Amino acid sequence: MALIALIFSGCRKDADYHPYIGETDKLAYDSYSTQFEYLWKSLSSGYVFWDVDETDWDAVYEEYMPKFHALDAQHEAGQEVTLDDLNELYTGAMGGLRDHHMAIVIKNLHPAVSDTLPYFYVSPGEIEVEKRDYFTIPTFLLQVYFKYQMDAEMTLLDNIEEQESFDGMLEEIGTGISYYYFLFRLPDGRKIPYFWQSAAVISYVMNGTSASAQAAKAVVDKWLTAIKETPREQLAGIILDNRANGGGCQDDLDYLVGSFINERTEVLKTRYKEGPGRLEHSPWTSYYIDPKPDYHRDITAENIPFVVLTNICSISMGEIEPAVMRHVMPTVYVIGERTYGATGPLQPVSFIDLNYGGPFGDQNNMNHYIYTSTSEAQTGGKVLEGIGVTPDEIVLFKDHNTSFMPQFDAAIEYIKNYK
Amino acid sequence: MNKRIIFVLAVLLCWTATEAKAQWAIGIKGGWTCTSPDRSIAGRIDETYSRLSGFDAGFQARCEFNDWIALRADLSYMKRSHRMDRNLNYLDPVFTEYRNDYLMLPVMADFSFGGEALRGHLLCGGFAGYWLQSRIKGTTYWMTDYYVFFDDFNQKREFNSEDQRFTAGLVGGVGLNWDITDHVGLNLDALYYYDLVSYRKSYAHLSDPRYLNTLSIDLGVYYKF
Repeated sequence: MALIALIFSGCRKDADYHPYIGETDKLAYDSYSTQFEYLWKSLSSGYVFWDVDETDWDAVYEEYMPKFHALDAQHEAGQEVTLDDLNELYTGAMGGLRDHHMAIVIKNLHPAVSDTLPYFYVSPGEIEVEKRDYFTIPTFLLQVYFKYQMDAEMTLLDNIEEQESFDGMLEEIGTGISYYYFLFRLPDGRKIPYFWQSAAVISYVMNGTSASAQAAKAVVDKWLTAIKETPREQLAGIILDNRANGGGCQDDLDYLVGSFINERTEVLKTRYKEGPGRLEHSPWTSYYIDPKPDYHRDITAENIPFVVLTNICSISMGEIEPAVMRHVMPTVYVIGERTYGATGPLQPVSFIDLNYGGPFGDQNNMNHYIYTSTSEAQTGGKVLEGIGVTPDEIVLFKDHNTSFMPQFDAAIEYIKNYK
Repeated sequence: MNKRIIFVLAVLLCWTATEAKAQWAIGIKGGWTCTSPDRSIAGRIDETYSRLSGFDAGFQARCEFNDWIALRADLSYMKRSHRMDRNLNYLDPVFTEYRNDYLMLPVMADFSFGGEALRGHLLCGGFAGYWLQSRIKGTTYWMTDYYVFFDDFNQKREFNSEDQRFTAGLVGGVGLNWDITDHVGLNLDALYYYDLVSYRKSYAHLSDPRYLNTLSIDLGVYYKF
């Protein structure tokens, strides 16, 4: 038997070199084509959406590898290769991928005099979203505009009984976060606790000890306490506003679902790459949320309507939250626009060895840095990556003269008429 | 050209068998298998791959042309299972057992030697096989922002376009026959199956072939006529 193996081992083919995804950023690429090949191979093995992504990855190799070789020849001939040259090729090669979390950041190996930045950035999600018929302005601009417009428009509302807001820096995260709570009162006296968050960091602030975390926690506490303690006959409904919510912590589901369920509940399923084959995934595994007693109220048993507002800027946890909440709580109703479509869970680069997928590269060195989903998520049997959450009731921002109030008004109207 | 040569040889052997009043034997067999994968880690630096035991059961047929050469063919259901383990610190509970069922058809030249009733055999040839079904069993994980949770699974594995369900390769081994009567006997074989076809298809520009090696030790009973 050993003889068979010994004699005929040469009849078996060897595997091609697969780079260890965790150290591709440390490699010294001697050519543009080598770097493209490493990135192409790393995504071939580690990209988690090959089962739903229609990109012909082999065709990408066949079309673009000669073009990267041409760039190498251009450089060797003494001509500059610019970031624009590279941007064009990487946008063509990778800009159509379905992962809406993905950001491809590449440094020019041989910086050109005309390069104004050290790197360029490609976002397949932004490329797709800009083609939607309800797209208005780039999402990062819309997020900023939303906050200031909401601040202006909300102050015009008459029926606010109380309000609280946090608009500041959570130092540990290092990102400006806005929280906004108010208690809206209907003409018949019933109340609607409303909460807007610019990022999903409830779980972070509720456990944070810094002064800014404590200030943010006070806003969240007001909202959750109003939900918990307002008598049923005075509670018309609840609004969670996830518009212009750029995402954040998975553990926020502990509060947004755990506070309203009575038993351990599967909220979604996830799976990761279990092998280098494009379709080689681990089994779908259930992600569970346990009931959380701190602010508990059984909104399903009490038939309390819970509206979640979404728009094209509801990204990552900003859209996973309404997807999950609607899946497990029957009285949840989504109003607004179809969301961004970035639903794959992410782990930091330091977790690369767990999954051999997800973000890889070096943000500081930045030969390259590829930000991409670590796992694939499924809610109610569907993978929403690149698609987003479709609301139960569509109200488009572009149809209402740049005002965000019609979406809010639709939520109020739904709750008023809810039976 | 090769197919023509094989066909002609087969015809010659059958004719020889007929002319020499060849003796046929048919029977059943079953036993233990042990399969190991031969694959690259493909950049997954903490993974290890190991063998798993199983069983096989099926039919055997032998056409003896004379007292030292025969043609042997089997048709058996064979377990060809293997395992993957993660070895990264806190992920070491994670593993997957790939429990695969194959239909195997080895065809071998059977060279025998020894006495009248008790004879030794040297077998060598090739086999074809078909991957009937697959099951996975093991422990996986899921993560929140701060914690890792483990989950057991045991489920049917659905085939996809990356799976190569037909296999073929070389087979060889040794055996022992004991003719209890003129017509009935027992045989004990140790055969080694060496796949030459990867059980996963490779992509045009990134090849990751994987092969199985299976040792089977079988006890059989046959009837000669």
